[in-house]
Amino acid sequence: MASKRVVRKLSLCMILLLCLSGCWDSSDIEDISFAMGFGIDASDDEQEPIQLTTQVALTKKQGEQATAQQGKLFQNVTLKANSIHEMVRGLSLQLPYPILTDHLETVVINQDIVTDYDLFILLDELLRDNITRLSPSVVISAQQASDILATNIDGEITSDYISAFFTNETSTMKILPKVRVGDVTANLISGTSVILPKITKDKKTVKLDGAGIIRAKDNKLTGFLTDKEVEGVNWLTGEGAGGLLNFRDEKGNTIIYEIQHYKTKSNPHYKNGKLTFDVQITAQGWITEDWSLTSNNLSEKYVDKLERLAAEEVVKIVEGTMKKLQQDYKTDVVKFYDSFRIAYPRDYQKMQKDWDNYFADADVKYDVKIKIVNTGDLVKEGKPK
Amino acid sequence: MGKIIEFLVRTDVWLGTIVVVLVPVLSALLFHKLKELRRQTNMRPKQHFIPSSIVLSEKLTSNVKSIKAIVGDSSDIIFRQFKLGNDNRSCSIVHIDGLVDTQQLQQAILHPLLHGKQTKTKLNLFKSQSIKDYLLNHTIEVSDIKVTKEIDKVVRQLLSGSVLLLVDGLDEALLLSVKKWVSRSVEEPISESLVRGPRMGFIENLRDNTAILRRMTTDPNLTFKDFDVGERTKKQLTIAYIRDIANEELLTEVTRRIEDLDIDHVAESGYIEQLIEDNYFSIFPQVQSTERPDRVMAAILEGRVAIMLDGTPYVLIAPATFSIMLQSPEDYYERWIPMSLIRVLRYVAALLSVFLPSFYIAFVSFHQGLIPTDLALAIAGTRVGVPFPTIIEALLMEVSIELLREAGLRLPKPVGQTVGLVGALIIGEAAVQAGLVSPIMVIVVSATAISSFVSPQYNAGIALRSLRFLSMFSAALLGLYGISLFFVALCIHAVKLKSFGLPYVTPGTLYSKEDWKDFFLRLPLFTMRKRPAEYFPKDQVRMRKK
Repeated sequence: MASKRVVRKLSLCMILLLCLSGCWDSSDIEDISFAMGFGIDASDDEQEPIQLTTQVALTKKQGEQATAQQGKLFQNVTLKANSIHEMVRGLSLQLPYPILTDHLETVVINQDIVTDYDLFILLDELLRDNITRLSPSVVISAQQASDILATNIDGEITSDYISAFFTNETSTMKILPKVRVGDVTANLISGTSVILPKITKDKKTVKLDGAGIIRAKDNKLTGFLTDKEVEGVNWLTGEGAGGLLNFRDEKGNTIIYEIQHYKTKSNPHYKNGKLTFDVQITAQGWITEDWSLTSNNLSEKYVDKLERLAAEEVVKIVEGTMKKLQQDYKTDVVKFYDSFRIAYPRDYQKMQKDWDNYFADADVKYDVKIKIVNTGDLVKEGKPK
Repeated sequence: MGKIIEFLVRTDVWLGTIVVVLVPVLSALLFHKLKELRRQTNMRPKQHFIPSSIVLSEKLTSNVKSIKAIVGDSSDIIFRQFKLGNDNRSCSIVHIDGLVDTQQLQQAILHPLLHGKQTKTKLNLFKSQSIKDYLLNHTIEVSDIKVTKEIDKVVRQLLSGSVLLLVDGLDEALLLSVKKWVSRSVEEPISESLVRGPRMGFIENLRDNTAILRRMTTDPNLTFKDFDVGERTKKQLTIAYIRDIANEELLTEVTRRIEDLDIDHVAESGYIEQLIEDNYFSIFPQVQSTERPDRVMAAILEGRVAIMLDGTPYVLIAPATFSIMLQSPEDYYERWIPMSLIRVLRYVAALLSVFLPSFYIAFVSFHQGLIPTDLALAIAGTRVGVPFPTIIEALLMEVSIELLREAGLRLPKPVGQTVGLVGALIIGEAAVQAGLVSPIMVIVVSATAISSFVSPQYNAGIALRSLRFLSMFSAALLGLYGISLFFVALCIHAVKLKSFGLPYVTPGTLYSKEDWKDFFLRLPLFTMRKRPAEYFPKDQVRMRKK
């Protein structure tokens, strides 16, 4: 009787388990094509207007003593179609193993395609795909994205190389913080403009050079900022992590101020339909280079003078940037909307759709305080050489 | 409908189902069978190895004859007949050659008996009572003398090394203890060596072992309680405890389980361990075994009970918990900060020795996205050309490591080292060169092997070693999800497990902050003023003031 019960239980188990289909996710790591970067270009073909370049890491090469060969560590596959996912799947016709986008580092977007197409549409597939992460960085390219990705730098995978630039943000103000796919889409959804780092190909290498601005109105490229203007953006957002400030004294001698850390606060005032921002910038740092060779480096008067000159230079930089943003591009990429939203939440709700225009008409006042905490070790008395 | 039928006739579906169903069902059936086997009462009739029909009489010749009948004609039994020096009464000495100190036998027994002079004429030697008195009080120069009538006891004592003195006209036998046999000297315990601490280990002789314990304390409460285990071989077993510390209930439980033992021969304390443990299906050892006297002393001072068996240096300590398996006496001998860190390291090592290969399998065959990009590319690069999936690769390496380990144990010492060296070279170098395994797998396997050596208790180490394989299979089936399931199952089992009424994961389950002082960390000694509450000691205070 006990055995009868056992048999009944056993058969029940069998039937129940048969209804479950097996889900086998196992696939060995060497049987996978790691997609490291995507490049999106426009194509001449009308039927297939988009061109996708996928950068795949070559693991075979690394296995066979990569140091000896110094060959290419990646393989680029370029396809044309009218949809991104179509092209991603089309890779299966050319690559032996399925694509894994978990390790995607960079998405390079050509400037031409983003002037024609909504950026949100271009990134739609990456956002919906449940495997892809939101962390790859998004950059805009002056040249064809396929060319950028094809740049062969010894011992490097180009998209990895590009993405690694953003770790340098502590050493210069000319690098924007890394813009991730998630940031871009989040901004575009909430209707704010986005600034994307621009990458250019320079002979045999690639470099960061300024930035491109995507306006919120139609999610398309409006224009570019030079790296000097990017510096201003960093001063205004307060999101930079440090860098240099290059200014001149009255005699035209170059002086370099290294920013240890700085803080930016924009205080909005909204009265009778008039929008003004008081921007307070405070910075702390060192003098690291002084071409004037002044001997009285330590005198308070001299330091005060340098602090004033540096502050004037910062104002000049941010005013230049602001002028371009307000007059030429009419986009708020310095995130003033955030402080305004916090101060005037009701008003912002009404103004949100048209924010970029309000921003363009706003008055901005600057209050810059630069502090020099260290003038360097030049303490010698007497005449300069 | 057609699709369902199509699905149902697929062979892989059936194969998978059969595997998924049969494995648990078969193991459940097996466990059921084992349970029944254990529950089955022993139908063996009570055996009498010494016929109780024989009784000692007053006649010497018949007594000698019956003893001869019982012990047979073994060549090592010596019967010596002689006459008492004073009145020519017939006597007989029986003893086992080799278990008796012959010099003492000559000087303290034979000589006084043979040369006894009739000092007290008042003694009426025809009364058996006065012969006994004469022998015990005036002649024999041995301190440990037992007088008994029971033939069973007589024979057992004779066979364990006592000298048997039979006197004509006396229906009792005198058992004189002048035992001496070859025994090993006290050495450093091999399986549990420490950097700091006594270099003393238990040996095979039970009396020496109890003496070692006795040497460590003059506390009159240290108690040894004797039992005879083994129906046929009657080995001596002693439980040691401190009378005013050890919990009463624990003592009765240990006593009950030992008295319940029914087996004809106990070869080693491992037999006792397996017969008195709570759960025989569990992979974890539920009784601690050690050959370090300091460890035993510390344990019985905490209120635990030590079980010592004659013939083995391994002493059992009950109850045991998982945390004890990762503790070493050295934790208390060295200063607390480094030893706390080392203890944490042991927990990490235990975790690694179970889960490291399975994590490797899970990451490499399921969750490639969770590895940092550069590492992922490096692993992929090294695995190119490896013909097996990760699980087979891992099994191959793990099995060969286990083989090497086992072979190294069995071989004589000098050869064993060579085998280890050659094996490591072959596995490390040649297997990678031949493309059978990837270099990273070699790193993983050797790191695992090293961390499994960290466990201070050998039996805990082998338990973790076997768990590793289960964990590897679950990782190969379901990735990280499988590992989590395995871990949860392991936790459920460990929480359910008890050792002599004490939950196995104590103090992990007890909400007592007191015992956590000596769990992952070993806090300074002055913080542990009370004995661990987990053993419910009668005397709780260990240290009154700083």
